[in-house]
Amino acid sequence: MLEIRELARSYGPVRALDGVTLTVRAGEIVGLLGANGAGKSTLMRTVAGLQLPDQGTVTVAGAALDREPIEARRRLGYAAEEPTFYEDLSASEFLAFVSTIHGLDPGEARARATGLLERLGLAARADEPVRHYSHGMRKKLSFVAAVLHRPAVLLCDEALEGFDVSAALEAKQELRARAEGGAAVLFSSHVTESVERMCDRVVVLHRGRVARTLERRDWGSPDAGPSPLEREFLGVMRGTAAEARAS
Amino acid sequence: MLAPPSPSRAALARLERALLARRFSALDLRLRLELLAFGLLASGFFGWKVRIPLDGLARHRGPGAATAALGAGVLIALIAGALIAGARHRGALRERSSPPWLALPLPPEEVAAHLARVSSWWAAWALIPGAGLLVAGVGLVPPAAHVLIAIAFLSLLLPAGRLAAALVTGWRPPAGTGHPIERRLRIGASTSPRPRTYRARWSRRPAWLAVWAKDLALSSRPGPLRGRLVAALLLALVSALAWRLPLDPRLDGFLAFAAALLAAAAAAEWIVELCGSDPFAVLRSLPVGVAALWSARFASALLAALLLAAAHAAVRATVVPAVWTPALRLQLASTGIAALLVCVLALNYGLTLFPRSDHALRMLAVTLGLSIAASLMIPLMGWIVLFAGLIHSTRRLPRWATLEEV
Repeated sequence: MLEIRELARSYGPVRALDGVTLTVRAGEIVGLLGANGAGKSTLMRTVAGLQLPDQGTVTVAGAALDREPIEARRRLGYAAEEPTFYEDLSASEFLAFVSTIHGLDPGEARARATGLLERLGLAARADEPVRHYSHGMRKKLSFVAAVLHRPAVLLCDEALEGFDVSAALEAKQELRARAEGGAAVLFSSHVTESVERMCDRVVVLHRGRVARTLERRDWGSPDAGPSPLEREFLGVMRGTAAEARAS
Repeated sequence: MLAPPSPSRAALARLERALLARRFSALDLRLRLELLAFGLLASGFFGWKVRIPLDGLARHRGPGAATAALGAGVLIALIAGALIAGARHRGALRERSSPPWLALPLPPEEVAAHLARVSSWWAAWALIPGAGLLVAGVGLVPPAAHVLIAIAFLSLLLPAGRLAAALVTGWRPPAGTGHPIERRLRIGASTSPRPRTYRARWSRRPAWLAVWAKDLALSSRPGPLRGRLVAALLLALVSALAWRLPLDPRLDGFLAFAAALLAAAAAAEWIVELCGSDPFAVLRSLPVGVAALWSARFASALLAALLLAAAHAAVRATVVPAVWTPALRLQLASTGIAALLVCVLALNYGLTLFPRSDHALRMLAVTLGLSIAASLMIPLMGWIVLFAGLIHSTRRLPRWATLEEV
């Protein structure tokens, strides 16, 4: 579904990516781990089409990024590490713009956007300009924009960092739903706990190269759901919500 | 013995050098050469236009008068440089709404001096007319005086920019305690009114129409986009009203056309600002190409040109006698076409230099300046310069797909 072949990219004398080859199959969530400067964000940005590789190819659900960039981007969702927006558009206007560019059905896109915003706790402020959003809210909006069109390939670059606990759980649920629906998800994070629970496979990047690929059995974590602490937290949140409803 | 500079002063000096190097490296070699060529041409043109009257002055009133005239010209160039730096400094202070680096233990005087030095670089634009003036004086002004004027100009240019920036910093700062620079930089951070809300309109339409609707929505909201649009609309109105001036009708027509070109330049700046308002990562990760973006902004350019021509036609229709002669029709058509060309040139620069709208604005200013200079030299030559710029920038449009954020 996502095929990266011999991808290389340098910044002056620094070789940020040095012949990276990896494949993310349909229905798979692949984690990307690496130290700072290992090349994770460069890989994500290059695959998202934000910068050109010096060599190598990227194929997104059958569309080559260099030959059919528009088609490749139509099949791609990208949740950025440091998202940027039209600051004077409201979140709902931004999502409507994104859905129009993707050619989505307006009614369906609106319903899906509203649902996602509610799940991530943004619905109440969806009509405010993004300029007034906090860092976490901006990350949530970037995530919603990335998954809105149910892309065949989803790139999450430190996408869940900055989310509150319940929003992070909802986002992980959405990611799993996307994967179960046949999407290929490349998930980069510094938080090994998230990667450990979410991912089917982990690619370790080191100095711009794939140092190792780990399968789920290698780290021996069969449980892909919420962690015990997350389950406790959810219980508290649900209890509080029930009390509020009762009162 | 001189005291060593404070660590923060040295750090700020290093930062300034790094900023300067970074801005220079952001221009690719071709653009550097193009800017250099434009600068030399503009400077040469300026020198050529000044040389003739300066020569006449030297012949009729002697070298002393020519020296005084050259000194006055260089002084005007210095003041122009200072004004550019001051205006830029004013804009920069307004942009900085919540600077986290103010939390660093920096003396406010050093912060103010640092920001003033950075803004003073803009005074270097005065080198274009200044160099032209100095070259024009060769052989007409006594060599010793010539060298003195040149040294004074070059050594005073950046200090003049710094002085202008310092005046802007100290000019009526907001009320409060502390250094004026602190009070200025806190303006944006201290006020957070309840935001207005905007409901989305979900509809199915082509990509270019979605971009155009988004552009118009952004231009209707407070900010630099609306400022540019309002300025362009006001200038368009003023240019149309020039037809009603109680002067010779032909002079009215000339003034209306000249003012219309100013309005077109303002509309062109709005279009460059529109192109620069697209967040790089958003645009490049969406399935939208340069054709859709160009079409959306062309719609804005066409609308601007039509509005301008319509305003001129409407006001001209109220002037007695309201006779539509072929010459008048030609002038109205020329007004619309010139406005469209200028706006499309701006659009091409805005897209091919994306996301650096500041570079695009500079290129636009240089090209329009050259067009005007060429028209003053040889009638209609400006059209050729404008067309050449348009063709050159259009050929660069496919580069949009390979641009990267610097």
